Amino acid sequence: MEHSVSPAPGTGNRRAVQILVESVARAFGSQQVIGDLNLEIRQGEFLTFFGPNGCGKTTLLNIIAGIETADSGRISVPTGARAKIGYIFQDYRGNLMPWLTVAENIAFPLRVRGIPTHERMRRVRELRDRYEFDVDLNARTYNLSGGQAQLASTLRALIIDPDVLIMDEPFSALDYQTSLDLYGKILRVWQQAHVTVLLVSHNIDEALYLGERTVFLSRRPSHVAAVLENTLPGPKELGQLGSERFAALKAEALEIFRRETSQNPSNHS
Amino acid sequence: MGRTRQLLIRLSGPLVLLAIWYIVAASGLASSYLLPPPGRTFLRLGQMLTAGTVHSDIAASLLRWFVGYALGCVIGVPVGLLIGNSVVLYEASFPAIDFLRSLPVTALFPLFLLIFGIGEGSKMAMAFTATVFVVILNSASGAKQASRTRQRTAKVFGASRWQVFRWIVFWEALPQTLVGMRIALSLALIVVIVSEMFIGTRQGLGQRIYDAYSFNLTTDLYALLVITGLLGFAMNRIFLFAEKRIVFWAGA
Repeated sequence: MEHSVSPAPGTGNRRAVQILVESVARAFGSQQVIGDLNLEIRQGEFLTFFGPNGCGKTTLLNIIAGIETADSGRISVPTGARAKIGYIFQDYRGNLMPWLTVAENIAFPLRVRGIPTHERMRRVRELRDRYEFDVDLNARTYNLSGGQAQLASTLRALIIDPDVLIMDEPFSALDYQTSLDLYGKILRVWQQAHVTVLLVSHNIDEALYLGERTVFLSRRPSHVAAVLENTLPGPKELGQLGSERFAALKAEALEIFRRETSQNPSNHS
Repeated sequence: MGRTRQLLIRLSGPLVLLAIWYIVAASGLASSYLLPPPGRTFLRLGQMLTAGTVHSDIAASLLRWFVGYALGCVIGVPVGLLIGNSVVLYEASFPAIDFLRSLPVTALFPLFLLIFGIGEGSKMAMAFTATVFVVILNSASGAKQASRTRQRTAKVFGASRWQVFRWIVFWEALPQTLVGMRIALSLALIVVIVSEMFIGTRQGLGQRIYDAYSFNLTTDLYALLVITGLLGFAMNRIFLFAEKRIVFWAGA
């Protein structure tokens, strides 16, 4: 299975900084979840996030998306224009509306913006055809498979032409085969839509394979422990998951992860 | 299960009930004064319907029921949804609503007679009261249980509070709202019949039932009970039929 996605032009540091996360901290009650987190997100990159459970990955994405606020620190946009954000959630069933058809679900963000029905449906069909997603637009959401439901969620996030696509563990509720299939589709979306992707994963292979860079978060209170660049050459294809270079990358990642999770949390406070 | 088989099973209950009625009446276990045989009862029922003597009573009861019930829903649904949508409002009003719901509506007869007099007003007000609290309670709990995830999703896509309420909370609460409306449907009919008996009226099924009792016309009494029962049953069935189609996703 070849995903035939070559690295986006201008990979690496040459791309402009799109979002700057500066000294962001966030606590829930007495529990400091994020403590002094700094990160540069570059225009058009595929950035994945990996870290121990409860390290505030979702909270961080929510703060970047503007759904939650940080206690201190700031999110700045050096280019000036506020980024339009599309959000894809882990719980696809709980995020689609069963009283609406698939098409109406995808069009929901347009409805919020007051765009008339006819125009909404036209845009939904156009989007589906552009990405060649195999989803029945007239179906009811409860009749969709997990993979199809997640494709519908993806289209819903894309319909507003986002600058940044945030995906919070989008594959973790799906079976392996479906996940592999969706990897290719997501990579294509990333390429075609020229969108910045921020993807949280609890699967190290997934995080390393999909990401151009993988951000390792430490345990609570979390900060960026390390950023690992995906150095695998050429277009991404699933065969890479079995290659020696991937194994080396994974060994490096596991070393970082072990170091960060075995540390005494008091070292950070 | 085949459709014919299902239909036969469903028909078996009423048929067994009729058979017991017939056997008990025919065996002389009960006096024919207290339990007239089904044949005679249905004959009387047929006479009432063909002679048209009960039509105006049915119409009068249905009108009281409908006006009270409709007003109860029109007011109860939005009030309930608004209460359920706000944690503060819910906590503040729930004990009061639970108290009012627990108060038997029939206990309000004297008060309603004082306020609305003995005309249509007090009977419709009874049906309204029976409806409104059940509907408020159910739509409020439906709105309260509305999925936080979907509300958050809508907010992430930029929906305003009002849009979240209209496009998410309303639909999330709809199955429970309709359950409340269905319970209220039967309750309102009961209250209309009782209030017709208690307050008195020129026309209405409750009054006819009471008259039949007063004049010892037990066959008439049974015939009227069958009519009233069938009315309630039919309304409930029609409502269920519509309900399943409106909230097609519930239980799917």
